[in-house]
Amino acid sequence: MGKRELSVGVMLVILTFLSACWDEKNIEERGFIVGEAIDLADKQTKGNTHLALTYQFVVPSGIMMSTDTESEDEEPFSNVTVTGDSMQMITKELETRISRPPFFDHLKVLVVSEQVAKEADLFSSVMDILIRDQQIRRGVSVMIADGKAKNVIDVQPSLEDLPAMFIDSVLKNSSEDLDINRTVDVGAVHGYLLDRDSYALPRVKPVGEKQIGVKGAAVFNGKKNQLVGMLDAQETKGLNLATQKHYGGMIEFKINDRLMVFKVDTTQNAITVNHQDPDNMKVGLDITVEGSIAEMFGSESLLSETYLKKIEKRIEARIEQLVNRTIDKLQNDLNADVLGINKVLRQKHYDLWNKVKDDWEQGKHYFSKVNVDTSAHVTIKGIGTSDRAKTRGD
Amino acid sequence: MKKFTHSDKTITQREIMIAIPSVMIGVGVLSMPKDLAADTKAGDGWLPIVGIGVLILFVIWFITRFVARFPGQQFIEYAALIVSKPVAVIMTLVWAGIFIPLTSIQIREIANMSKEYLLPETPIEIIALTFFLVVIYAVSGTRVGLFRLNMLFFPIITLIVLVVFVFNLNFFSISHLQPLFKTSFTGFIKGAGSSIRSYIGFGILWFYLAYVEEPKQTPKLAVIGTIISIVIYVLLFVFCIAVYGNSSTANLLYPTIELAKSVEIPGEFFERFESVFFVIWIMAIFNTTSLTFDVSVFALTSVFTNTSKLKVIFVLAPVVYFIAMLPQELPEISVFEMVMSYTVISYTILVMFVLTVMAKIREVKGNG
Repeated sequence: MGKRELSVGVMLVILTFLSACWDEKNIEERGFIVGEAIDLADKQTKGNTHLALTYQFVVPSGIMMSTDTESEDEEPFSNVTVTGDSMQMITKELETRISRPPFFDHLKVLVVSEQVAKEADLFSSVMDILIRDQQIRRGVSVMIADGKAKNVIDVQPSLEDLPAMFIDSVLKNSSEDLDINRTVDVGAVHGYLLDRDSYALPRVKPVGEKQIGVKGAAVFNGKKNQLVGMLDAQETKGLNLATQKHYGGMIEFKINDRLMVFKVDTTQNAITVNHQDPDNMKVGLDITVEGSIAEMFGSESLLSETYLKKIEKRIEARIEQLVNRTIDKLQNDLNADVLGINKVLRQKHYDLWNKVKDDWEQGKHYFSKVNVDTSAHVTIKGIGTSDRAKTRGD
Repeated sequence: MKKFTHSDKTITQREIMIAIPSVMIGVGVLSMPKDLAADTKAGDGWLPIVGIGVLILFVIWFITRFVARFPGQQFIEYAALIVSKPVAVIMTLVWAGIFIPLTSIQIREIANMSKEYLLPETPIEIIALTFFLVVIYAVSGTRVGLFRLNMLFFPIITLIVLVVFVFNLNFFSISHLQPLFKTSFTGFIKGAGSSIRSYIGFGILWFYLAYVEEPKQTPKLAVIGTIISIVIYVLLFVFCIAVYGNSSTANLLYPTIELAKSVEIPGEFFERFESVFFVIWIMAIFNTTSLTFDVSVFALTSVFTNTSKLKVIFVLAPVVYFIAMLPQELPEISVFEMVMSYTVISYTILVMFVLTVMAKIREVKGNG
């Protein structure tokens, strides 16, 4: 055997004995977590706050054999609840309960219960690990549960295999809808927490056993760092009209005492600061809405220019009413600037912002004193395919 | 085994043009937006990047113009002409002394990041060693081959950065960049200090220009190479701020990697894009590390002319690895990195001043 063959032989031996992998982990040995729900534990002792975390694991066999009749009772997911003081300790505890190491890379939704969010600083503390952990991506949607968070990821959807995926698609499908608060992800929450801005998260609750409802918004005060109150569906609509662009949805209003529904195609809004004295700040909020008449209970002809103008005026009044109600609640009740006036000040009137920023939502409460002048402009672009559906309506 | 040797021993100007961004874009870029965002308000950080970039551009232009006067001569040769042989030897040894820890810090940082993002269970020592062994292998070959490798990798690196940009356009919000120019003067100075650390490594020019075919053409192409770096840096910074906002960017350890993490390729079958990004970014860091390691080898071989290159590499390698493993904690590493960056920049500029001034005084014209 020549020298060359010998060296090749030695190399091969070394290769087989020395090559290994610390991080080898087969995909079937991982416990994929797709959803997480955070509640307060039922039993609380003094001093520490106990949390109850529910993890939603994917059970691959449950998905793959869904056509197989034998495994009909096997669910495609399994929810495991663990209690503890810190999120990291809970995750450690979890590893002793299940056979597969948890893998957070595919986490999609995080549901936090109202009780956790209402406790000062607790919400930001539980968010810490989600921001810090490198496995978890910043695109995980965060929402607040009406009631227990566990119940939300316990629903058993009929069309999707996994409740977490189901919640995720419900939120995605209804994004840019006026009734529903914008989807907020972990990355955005990180920004709010750092800037100590106020923000609103969507609210979800289980409807029956198979569905969830996304309605309204949970408002957090950035300075107090806790949940301060809720906006109902109508108030959320007002908030979305005031802050979101290119949203769609329905606006109900009455004309001649009959109900009419206006379908919003697109929204635009702009905040301008008109009067810069901190104690007497005047802000103009312009909302431009385009849409069409979707449904009417009356029987008037919609082809009349004057009537359409009248309808537009009615819708404008309705929008202003909705928005002003929300602003009123935010200014006087919740004291949380989720309208984004602070952003406009910071970005466009930086010097003024420096003067007011310490007393914006606290101290002198400049935010509550801002005089917001809402004005809406509505354009009716269409009335559907038929002028009158009936000649006598009721 | 027979060693493969290339017939041509020279590098083209275009290879020099690529070598500049190759050596600049390394580990520093992954965390550069963080430091800059912390120093400046909103999106103002692009200003120090461009400002420092233009300064560096002039320095590079000046160095290439100067070295072009001594075509085909190595650093130690033309330095000896200008400042006498013993001083030239000391200068060359200092180069080696600077580029050795610079190589170490690159190795350590890439090992740290790979551990954090890719291989959580693998010991840092092993990750660093595997990476370093590949670098040693590359440096053991011909120098010209190293430049060809740079040429090969660079387009791929640029492409992946572009992909990250395109897929982040979705999350791009211009309002994050406002208010404009509200950073204080000290903030801009601090920002300039942070961004200068992304421009280190061009000191390699003192050595490699000896191999260039047509030294007269190099200044122009070296300037283009620097502009490539500036453009990539500005875009990266602006994207980080526009996607994450100033305060989030300032609090993310590696904003650039997070940018890659937020990429969602439609169709849902291709998640975890950052793993691809990371693999390609390791190529960028490989470019940087192999060039800095090669310069330290180059400097030593030009002083100890009787020792073979391989011998120098085998003696140097354990030293580099040892220095890489010295710092223990994250703050230690970043202090080490900071000190090294400023040393390299200052020494590069110091050498420039000493050589030009002495050349003027002693009327060394060169023959180019």
